Amino acid sequence: MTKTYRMRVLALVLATAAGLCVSFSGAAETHATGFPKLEAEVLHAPKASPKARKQSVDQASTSVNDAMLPMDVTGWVARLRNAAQQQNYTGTLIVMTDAGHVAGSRVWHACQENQQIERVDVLDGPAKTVFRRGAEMRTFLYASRTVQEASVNASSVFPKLPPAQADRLDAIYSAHRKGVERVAGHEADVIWLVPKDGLRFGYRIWSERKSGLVLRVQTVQGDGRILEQASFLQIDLTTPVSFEGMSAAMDDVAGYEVVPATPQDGEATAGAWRLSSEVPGFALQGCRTPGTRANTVQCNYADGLTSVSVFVESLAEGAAPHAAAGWAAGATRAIAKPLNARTWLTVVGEVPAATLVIFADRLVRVER
Amino acid sequence: MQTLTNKHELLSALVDGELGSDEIEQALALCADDKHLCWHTYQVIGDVLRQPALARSSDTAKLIEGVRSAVKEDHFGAQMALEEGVSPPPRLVVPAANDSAFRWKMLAGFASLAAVVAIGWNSFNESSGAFMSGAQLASAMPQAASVVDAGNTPNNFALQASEGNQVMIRDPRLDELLAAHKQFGGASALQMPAGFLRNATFETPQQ
Repeated sequence: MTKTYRMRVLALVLATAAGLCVSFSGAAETHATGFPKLEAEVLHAPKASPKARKQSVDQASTSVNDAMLPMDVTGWVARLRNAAQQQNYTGTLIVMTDAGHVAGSRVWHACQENQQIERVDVLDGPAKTVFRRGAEMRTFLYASRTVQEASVNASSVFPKLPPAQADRLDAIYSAHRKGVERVAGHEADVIWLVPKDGLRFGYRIWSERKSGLVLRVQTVQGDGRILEQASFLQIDLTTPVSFEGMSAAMDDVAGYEVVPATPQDGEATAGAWRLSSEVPGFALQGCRTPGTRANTVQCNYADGLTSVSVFVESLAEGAAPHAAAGWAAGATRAIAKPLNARTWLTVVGEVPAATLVIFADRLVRVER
Repeated sequence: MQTLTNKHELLSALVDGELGSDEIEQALALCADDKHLCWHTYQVIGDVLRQPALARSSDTAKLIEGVRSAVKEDHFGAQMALEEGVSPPPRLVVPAANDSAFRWKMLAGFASLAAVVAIGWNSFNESSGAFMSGAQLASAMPQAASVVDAGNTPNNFALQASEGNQVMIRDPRLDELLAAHKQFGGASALQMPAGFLRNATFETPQQ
């Protein structure tokens, strides 16, 4: 009796004092594990023999020759990207922001030929699992027994930078090696990617020494403050992960209501609005009409490490205009303002707010 | 005479069906006598603890408007940011397990206004209902950004917040745009693998 009472009192206190209702794992009553589809035998391939495992560990601990490591930003980016395409792993990831938001997940990642599949079991909030296989994404929401399908822009997962833009990486960032540290149980090279201007954030990266896999990323603003951090708490690079097992789990939607992807995104041009001049370092990646927002054109600009989306939205006749505003969480910032009485602009990106303002400022209407 | 704590405890146990017949009678008498002991509150808390989805609001638009006006009017929160000039204690903004329940997010946004201000909800000077000219923006925003980012000169920002300039509330529309940005625009080499994992881990879609 006193236990449940204490829980309620605590909930009341927290809800009223901080506006937060701390859940005492309410969902756990429904799902003992929180993840009904979590079946280790489905995810993992047969265990490697102790001998094979030892060999693998020995290989992993082989010292890496520093001279083989990249010297420039372009080289590091290529190394990090290649690692993700070739390395299987399972681990526990945690994401934190400067505001104290914390979210964790269990992650499985498997590569097979040119394909990758990932499973992310979100550990905070309502139980859900996100699968990604290539550009295909499915989110299993256990409470509502639904599966949401979506497509990921493949280039956002494995961006293939145009050569000209790849070359420009070293013009706008510089790479600095900061020695070796141990992260999530592994030796990692510490690399700082420092911007050469104030238009973008810097990054501190911990890259697993042998494979190059990113173990931790910190997004850092100009004064050194860390805005956001994504880090593995633990990662296993040697346990076999079954591509087929994960793929089968992703396709097993029995008992779930499948919500298909929104209508195909429409190709779009920048339309009547475009930048009067380029924002230094950012190149136009393309424009589209998001499937969920037929009245909106989204154009994306990227510098190779980060990107900015410009949304131009046509308001319906008589629609109440939104108020000009700004928003930020972690490294992501957004600003919004009216372009005219019928057109609304929102700019979103993992860049300083001042950079978003420059984008907004340079957007001009092209007379036809 | 029973203490207030005992009364609350009795009601909590009654909701859980843990009382004997004598105690039930006592508890029911409390319900009738004491309007401050809110029987309904315990029911709701119990439901929410058992099933977070029940904590969802049915009228988010109205709620957003309420929070928005409350934020505008809450000079106390702005004053706190002004005086402290530092980030608030993290405990105010730790996400709950039922973070996706929109109502709780809104409550969090309201009750931890000081936190919200200090963590950097950028706002813009708005003159006569229109934005500043481009030149004004270009000159003003780096300052605003530094205020928000470094928290070194909170006066301007607190002033902006208290004078009714808007902060963007995280509503379903903004969520859609953020999702579209992540889906199409996350063209960052660093986005992989940490970026996608970050998005999948951190994103809390409105279900």
